[in-house]
Amino acid sequence: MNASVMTLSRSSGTGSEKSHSMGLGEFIKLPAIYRRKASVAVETKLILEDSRSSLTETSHDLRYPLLLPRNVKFGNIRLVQQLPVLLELDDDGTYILSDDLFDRYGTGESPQSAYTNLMEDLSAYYDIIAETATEDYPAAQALFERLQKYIQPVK
Amino acid sequence: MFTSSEIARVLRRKFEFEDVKGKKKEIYLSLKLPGVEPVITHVSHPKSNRTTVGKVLESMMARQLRVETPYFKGMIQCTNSRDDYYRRLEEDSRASP
Repeated sequence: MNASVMTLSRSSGTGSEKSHSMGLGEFIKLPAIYRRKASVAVETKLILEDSRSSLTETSHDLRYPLLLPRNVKFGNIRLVQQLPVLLELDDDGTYILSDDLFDRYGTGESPQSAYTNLMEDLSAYYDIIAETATEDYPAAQALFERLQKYIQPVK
Repeated sequence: MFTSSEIARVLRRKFEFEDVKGKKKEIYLSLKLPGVEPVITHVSHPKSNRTTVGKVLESMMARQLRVETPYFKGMIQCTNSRDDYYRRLEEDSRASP
């Protein structure tokens, strides 16, 4: 999986969808409602460039909702449903990309590296839960069933 | 603020988390209690030029442990006991459908 493939585009929302790639610095300046629309556009490609300088100038309290697109493959897993994630900038300048459903996170010096770290974490998490979900541990089986709605192994 | 290694040490020693074998790139700790979904926490290695975790990361680690950030701090500072933490997990598990 090439992490640089992580892309996002915004939709015009008019039916004649325009795909417009943009950098994170540009995206963050959009009004909140437009950002939300952009982040939920289905046919999106997300570009997470390392625009740390413009981000830190814009806000020290960055909270940036995104969707990881369906069918993204990484290592031994692929996403079978869009996964809502949140990009935040920590007080020490580290980017943190986290999901709200399974509470997984990735960290990095750029959004790209945080994304790569999150995907590595989801992959490791999938393996751990798959191994744990045995018949004598029903609580883990229930969690594994929920997880499989979003993540499947690459065959 | 805490260091990653301090957090991992307390979770292992006091709260009896176990290292997940085979995950060498990062530290993964797990806690398996009967009737409770497994708690899997990812202790990210800090960058070489810093030793403490930031506020956002701290709150993420708290969420992975299924507690609020102030409670998490109490766990690491050893003001919250293992029995109390386990009881919370069990109660939360019973409360969720």
